[in-house]
Amino acid sequence: MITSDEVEEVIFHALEALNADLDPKDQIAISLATPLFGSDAAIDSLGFVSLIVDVETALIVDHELTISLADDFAASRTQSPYSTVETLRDYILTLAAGQ
Amino acid sequence: MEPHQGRYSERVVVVTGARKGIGRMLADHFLTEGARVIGLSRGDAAITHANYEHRSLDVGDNLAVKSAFAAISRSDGRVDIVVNNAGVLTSVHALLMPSSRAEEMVRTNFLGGFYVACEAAKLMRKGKFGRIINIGSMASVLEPVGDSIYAATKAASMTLAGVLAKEFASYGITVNTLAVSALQTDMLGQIPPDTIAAVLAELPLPRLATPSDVFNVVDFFASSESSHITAQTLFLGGAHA
Repeated sequence: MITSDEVEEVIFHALEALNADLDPKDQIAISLATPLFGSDAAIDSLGFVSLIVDVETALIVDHELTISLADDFAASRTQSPYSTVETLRDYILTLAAGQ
Repeated sequence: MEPHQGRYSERVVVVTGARKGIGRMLADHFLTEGARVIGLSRGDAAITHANYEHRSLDVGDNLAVKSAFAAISRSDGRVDIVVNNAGVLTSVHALLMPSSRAEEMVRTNFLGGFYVACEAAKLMRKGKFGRIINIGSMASVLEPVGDSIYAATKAASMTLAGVLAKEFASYGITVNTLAVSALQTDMLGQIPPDTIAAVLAELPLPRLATPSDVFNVVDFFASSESSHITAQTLFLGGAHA
């Protein structure tokens, strides 16, 4: 079973990959509280797509965890699982536990 | 033995429906031109070649497609060219079409191409290069009797290609469609000869297509020089909307 620390590392790594393509002035401050989606987020729509794809790819390639982060279950949740790094981490752990 | 040097000697190519028909022809073509080829189809491998790897799966099964591309990511780290060829055909009057066959055509011909294109694009975007080539059909515009769902799935795939071309453009990925006319394959064998003759008669160039006709267009779409060619459908034989 994938651990909370491993999921955090996957998300942080994906954010670092995003930062690598951004200008120094646009760098995303990376922490558990980093907003990923919504009005507070510093990530544009294409960046968000890249983030989700990078996280999904790392989970399946490096951890053999095949999950879809953009599904009906995600859309139905009261709090968006994409709000922050922490909510995304918890959502991934929920999906992993269900497998 | 020196590796074969051809126009695709540095390329990793995925061909769906690689066991027979156009997919088999194209897999052989890419291998002849030096590519590493990964074939995806429901059956077992039909090609034995040092640069060929086969994965048995249903392209309409999204999880299976995701797993296959994860394995490709681990083994090759990239995909350069995808040929979305896998397709099934049931040609029968709409009022007699079994729902199971209709759903299978939608799942394989349309959703399968979508799943494969998306998983491929996830790998292609890292290298800022990708060529997604869909094998379409003149049926999408000629709308032959009996091909209700088949023709509709091919038309839907052309529309899908247009949207994906926009969404994937910033990754250096092009998405184009080769709409074949009639080619001597197992699939064509399912259609009565007089029906084929009648459909071909509607074309400006009323003859069966040849493998070289197919290779010519696929090579054009796959070329690195075709970076400004996307969202296009090329009809063999001159069919048009």
